[in-house]
Amino acid sequence: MAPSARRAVLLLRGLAGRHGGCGAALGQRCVSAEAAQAPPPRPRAPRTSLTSPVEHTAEQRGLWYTLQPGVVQRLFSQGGVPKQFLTQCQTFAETCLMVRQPSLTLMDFIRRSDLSLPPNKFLLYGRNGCGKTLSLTGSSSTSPGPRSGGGTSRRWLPSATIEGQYDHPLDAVLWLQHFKTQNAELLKTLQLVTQERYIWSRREVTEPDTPLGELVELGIGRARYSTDCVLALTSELKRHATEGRCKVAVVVDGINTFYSPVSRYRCEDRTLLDPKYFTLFQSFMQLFKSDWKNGIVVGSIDSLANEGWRRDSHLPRYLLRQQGWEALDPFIPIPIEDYDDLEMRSAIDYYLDRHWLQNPQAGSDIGRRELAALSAHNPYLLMQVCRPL
Amino acid sequence: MATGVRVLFNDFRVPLRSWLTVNSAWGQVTGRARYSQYPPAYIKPVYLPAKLEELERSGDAKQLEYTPVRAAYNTHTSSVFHDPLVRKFTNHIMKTGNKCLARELVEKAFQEVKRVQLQKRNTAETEEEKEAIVCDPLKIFKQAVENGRPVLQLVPIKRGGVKYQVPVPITDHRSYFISMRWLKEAGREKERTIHFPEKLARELLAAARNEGRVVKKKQDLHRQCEANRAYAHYRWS
Repeated sequence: MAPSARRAVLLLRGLAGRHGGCGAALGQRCVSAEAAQAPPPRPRAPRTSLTSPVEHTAEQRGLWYTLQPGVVQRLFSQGGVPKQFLTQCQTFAETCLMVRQPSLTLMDFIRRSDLSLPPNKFLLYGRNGCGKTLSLTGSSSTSPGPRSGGGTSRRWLPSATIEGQYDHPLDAVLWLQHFKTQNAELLKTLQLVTQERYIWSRREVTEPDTPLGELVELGIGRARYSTDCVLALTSELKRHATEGRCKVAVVVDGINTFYSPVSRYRCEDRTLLDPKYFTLFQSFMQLFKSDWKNGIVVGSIDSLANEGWRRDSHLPRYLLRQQGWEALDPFIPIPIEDYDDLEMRSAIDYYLDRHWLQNPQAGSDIGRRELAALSAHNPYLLMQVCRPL
Repeated sequence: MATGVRVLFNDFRVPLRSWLTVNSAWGQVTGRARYSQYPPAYIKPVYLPAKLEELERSGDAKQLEYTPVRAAYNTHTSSVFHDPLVRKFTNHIMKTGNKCLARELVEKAFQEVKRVQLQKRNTAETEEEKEAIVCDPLKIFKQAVENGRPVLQLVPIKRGGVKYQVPVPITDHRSYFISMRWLKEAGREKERTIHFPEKLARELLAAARNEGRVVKKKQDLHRQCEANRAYAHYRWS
């Protein structure tokens, strides 16, 4: 019997080792390359025990803080954060965010805002994937108040109450539910009531001095009136804030959506519909005006919120266009940059700590340098690059 | 048969019907492939940094100093995360030269493997149990390929006007190829609603545990070879 045939028979009986004898072309080559350098020990993630972003100072920059499960449940249960981030948190078995300079700046500005004046508008902008949405998430976890998600969906109907307007009943219901879960406790403690009489139909009327919670419930229960409920709710909140009964923080992701001249919807004559006819848009856009006080507006300007043919630049003037630029003026722009060296190191340490980076070379000096170069220091790209490692 | 193993099958790098000699020590093709644009004196480029260091340390680099070298492929990278076996597997998955997509699919499958294993790790109770769970997708992939490698194959040989399925030993190189081909095919056998990377990840995990379709295919092939052992002598007579 030829040697190779004998080896095959031995292998079949489980007598011979696989790696002896004639060399394995591919497998052995990689093993030898791997064994050349011993893996460095797995580092611990740099963490801070201060879980509230209000307490963070420049000393905590680049450290990771954990969001309490209750806060996560309250803020994220109805959406509002990227799905990829949620999956990642599930894998890591915790919800952690890094303290970054834009969040620190934002918290500092909010602290120093004079609430007796019209609301300050803080707009975060930056390249794709540099952490606009997550910076918003981090700061919104402390600031109570309504939080509106921009964006459009496919379900819409001509308005029942206002001629020429269009409603998004299902989106409005979703938003109202979101509002309810986020602000359930505040609605109870603040005891806000309606100040006007709303006539929905011949039989359904909301009298003055009804708690706002009931208005929200009505909108959730009766989808037909949900859009108008949102309009009523935002107007009521504006008035309550102006009269000093509550403070309102409006947090919007992709604020430039509101100033797009076209929507995804087509009229009967096949022309694209102008979003100014959306009641839902109108109700949110009145919060961005400067005719009220005791509140703040925090928004992100996102090129992905624009139409596909207008995403060339990440700068506010381009994305907001003339209309948005004039409507939001004056605002405070807060740029968000990619990771610097400190943050990059911290992010890789965190991934190593959570066992997300498994490659033995990932924690080494040359591996870190390669990760930094491949991701160009961009947080989202870093996440993508670390996928298979 | 003393110096190496003669390869009967068609290697995808060389034209059809060419007989090659595979050097057993290095697994490199030493015979001259027809239509090569390089003269035989040209050696293949060494692109892995670890291997280069080894050459320099052992002094072999001195010998190769004036040897002409072939141009490197654009897939030859000095990245520390580069793995030749994964690169080969990516090429198997690739269709119509769409390498970008193939890489993405493999990366997603690896990510899925990692997610499944980390989930297990998070739910494990004791520290020893946690440490015992392998989360490295590369290790799992290599184990899966290793477990799927057959040691025999059936080759049709014509004797007296009848074709017999004759069991013959397989080269290491081809066993890697077949194992990876089976893995790829197992990933593609799925319902419409499941995505390829997801299915591939499941198959990788199953094969690494010595279960699943790939291992079953290998065992079936071995069983067939065992059944046809009476024809084994047709290999040389």
